[in-house]
Amino acid sequence: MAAVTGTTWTCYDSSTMTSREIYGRTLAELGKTNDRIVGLSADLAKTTAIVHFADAFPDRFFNFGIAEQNMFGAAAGLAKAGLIPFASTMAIFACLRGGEQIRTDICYQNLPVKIIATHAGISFGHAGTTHHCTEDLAVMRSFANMTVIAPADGIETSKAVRACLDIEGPVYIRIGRGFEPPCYENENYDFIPGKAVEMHAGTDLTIICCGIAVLQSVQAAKTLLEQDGLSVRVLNMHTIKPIDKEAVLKAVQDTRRILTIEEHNVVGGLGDAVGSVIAESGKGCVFRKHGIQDEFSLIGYAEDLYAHYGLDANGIISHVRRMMGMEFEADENWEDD
Amino acid sequence: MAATQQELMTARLFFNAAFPVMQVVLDDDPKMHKKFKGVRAMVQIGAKNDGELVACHLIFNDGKVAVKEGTAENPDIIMTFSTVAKMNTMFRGGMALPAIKGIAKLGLLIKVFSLLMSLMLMMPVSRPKDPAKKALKVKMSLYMITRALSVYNKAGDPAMHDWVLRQPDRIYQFIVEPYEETNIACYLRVKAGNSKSGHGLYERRKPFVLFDFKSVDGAMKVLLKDVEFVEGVEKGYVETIGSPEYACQLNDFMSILQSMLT
Amino acid sequence: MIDSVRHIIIVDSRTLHLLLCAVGCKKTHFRDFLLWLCGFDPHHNITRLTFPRTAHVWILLKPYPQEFNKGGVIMSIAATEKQRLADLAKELRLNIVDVMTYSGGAHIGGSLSIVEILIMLYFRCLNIRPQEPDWEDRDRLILSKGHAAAGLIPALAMRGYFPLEQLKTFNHFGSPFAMHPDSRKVIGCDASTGSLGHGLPMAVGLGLGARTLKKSFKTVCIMGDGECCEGSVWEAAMALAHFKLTNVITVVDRNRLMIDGGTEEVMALEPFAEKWRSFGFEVLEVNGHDLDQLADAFDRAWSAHDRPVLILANTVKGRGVDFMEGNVKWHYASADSSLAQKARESIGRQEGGI
Repeated sequence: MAAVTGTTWTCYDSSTMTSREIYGRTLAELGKTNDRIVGLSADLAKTTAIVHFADAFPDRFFNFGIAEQNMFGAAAGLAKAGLIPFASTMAIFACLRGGEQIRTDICYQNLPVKIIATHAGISFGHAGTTHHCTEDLAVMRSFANMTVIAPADGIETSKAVRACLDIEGPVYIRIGRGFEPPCYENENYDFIPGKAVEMHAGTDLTIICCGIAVLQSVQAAKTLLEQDGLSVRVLNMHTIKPIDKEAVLKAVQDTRRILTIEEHNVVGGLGDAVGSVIAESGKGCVFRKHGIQDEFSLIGYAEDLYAHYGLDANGIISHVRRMMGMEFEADENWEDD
Repeated sequence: MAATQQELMTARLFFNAAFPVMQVVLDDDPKMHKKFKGVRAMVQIGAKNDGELVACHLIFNDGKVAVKEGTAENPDIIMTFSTVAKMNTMFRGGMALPAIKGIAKLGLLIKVFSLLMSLMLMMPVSRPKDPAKKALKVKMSLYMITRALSVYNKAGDPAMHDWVLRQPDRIYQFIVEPYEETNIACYLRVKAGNSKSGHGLYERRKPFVLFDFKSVDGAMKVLLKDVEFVEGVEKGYVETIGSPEYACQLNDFMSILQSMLT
Repeated sequence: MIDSVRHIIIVDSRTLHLLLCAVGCKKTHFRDFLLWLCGFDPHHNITRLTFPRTAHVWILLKPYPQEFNKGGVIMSIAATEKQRLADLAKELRLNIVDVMTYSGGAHIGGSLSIVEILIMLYFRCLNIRPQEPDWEDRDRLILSKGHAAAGLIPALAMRGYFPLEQLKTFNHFGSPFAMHPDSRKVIGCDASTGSLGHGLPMAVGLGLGARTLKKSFKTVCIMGDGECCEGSVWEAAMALAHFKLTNVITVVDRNRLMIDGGTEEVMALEPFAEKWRSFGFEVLEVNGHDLDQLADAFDRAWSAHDRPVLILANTVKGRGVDFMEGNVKWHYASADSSLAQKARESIGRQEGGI
């Protein structure tokens, strides 16, 4: 008897499958008490999880179809009318297709538009490079008035969305496709834009990371402590702009070795932001940036790409060991229970 | 008549994945636990295959059972089926009887048979109403399936082995909530060709894919295929956290194994 | 039924319109209300008007003309009002020439072509309060063709947002006034524009915002015709029709010139009105320098209720200065004091209105 293999699911199921991407529900909650919040989409409401807000407040949600430039222009207009627009689309389309509108209509006029850019980095691996975005941190950092946040997981995204409302001007939040495993247990920790979160204490080396790299770095740090006796500090630098200079400088002072990890080109992103802080401080330290090495990614599932580009725990462990000058060890008990 | 590769693989899966689940029954079922208290015996089960014997033996030791591949030295009971196919049929719950040596040890024989029958709880037709039995069924099924996945890889199935080969260190974790009450959790670890099934929660790192069953009842519905997996997620019976593509691929292998074993 | 008809009167709808005007219905809203009451639908050729006492009279109406720049009298504004506006238009033209001299260079052609439109809006149509520039319920104006700031900014000054004197700092270091309007610096300016194609999407947002906040303010968006090459314009057009945003009024300054040549040579836009109609707009084609036609068109646009309106204003680039009119090189230019004086004289000779 042949088994039925394969699994049926459609893109309409994605909003139930990505249960850990809770920002849509958070936004719907916020919409109850704040009637100035409106939601915008460019035909990607279900994919970007803003559908939860759309379902709760159909009169305050506008779908512009596949027209990102119009969407961001309209977001500016809605902000001018006195509302707080949350506009969501895929990172590549937000940052480059609607880029001029974000810069000229939104940042230049310093309007309170909050941009939720999904599928950032190589998280949409198998969709190919047209749907990847390893440039958005570099581009958004260069816009004056913009706050740039890369949350580590669904919980942090939810907290970032709440924090958005207290930031006067435009905000760019970049997240994955919603299948990222959770990093935090719950929302009971302080999320302050511009302040890094210490996820793991350490004194030998500091990993400064954002996005999916945070969970992987924490796991790597735990393994390194157990196996190599290395004490690795992990800083979740969720806000790339304005960057937490204090935390960076303290890390330089305390550990003298800095490794940055990001799901982004090594050019222009978190690595360069941290590097500038270090260089301007005049203090010497061992500094390595890790991310996508200024190339367009291969095709594959995101998790495989992370493994390939060394953005997963194993990859991070080997980077750290290289920085400390050590070799890779195996851990093997292959008996079944 | 020589057995096919498929039949041999199935037999191997029964020996190495289904039989070890007997330990769960011995631990969790109070009646069975009492029956086998103090029992020390060895039982060989096998089938004739082209002059050879495809067999395994169970070593009972005061409530603990170990399963070893191959023939035993001086077993108390020997069950031999005329063909591997017949043996597999019986394990699937069909009618096929082995030749039995050591029938004199009737007491032991009855106990062993009842234990073998208890494995039928994992069959799709079995739909217990009693909550304790439900939990047992879910636990047995999940333990069996994770073991089966690992055995499938170790036995060399090309597709499975390929899949395991491609992966850097990953954990596929199953859990049935609330964990403190159900105590049902198991995992499959895969790394560059190696695989290991384990009980409980893998502590050393976060799972690559977590199958989080929200309740025993929900788990039952999904395992019995009362609902399609995606429907199960929609209805809130189960939540997958992690790569959806790999979750589906694992699901595929589980379907293949389930069809072989039930 | 036909057999019960005693009289058939064929009336030209324009005449009917004029009859109503003559009876004193100058207010367009009341006029439209009466027509609606009588069952008048401008999109059908035959309408049956029923009056209770003469139920068997049928009136065949000829269709309401879409284009009324073919002559005919539209008595939309009183003569004194028209003169006032014409004088203001002249004044604005002179101020634009001044700005060109203060700034050392301006988009003079495209600024002069929208003078009547700006005057019509700032001095007749827009519901604004210069003393309260951030008044939440004000009508908004987005000059999507932001390079015509040399026209917008003097108009704002004339309307009372800030003293005309300040224009002398145009383009100078630290001045709020430059080639393109900055909403953060120019009081009364509703949007920072300059990059073409941005204005209409912002207007979509303002239209949706007004509706969401249950406000009745209008948003007028003035675009250039060359600007309509930008794809984002059509994205916004689709959205305006889709969302039925009749609270947004789109105006295109159809002066038929771009920088590298005529619009039809560089990137042909025709059939232009048809394009907008196919996108779901009601297109009102007018002579963009005729105050009567503009008034009528804006009145209709203001009271639009089922489709968004596009006012397709046929204009002349550089209108008012004889040596600039229709001349592509005056898109952006400067003039020395004697040429500037000639420009002023040319403006002085212009008739008010047409």
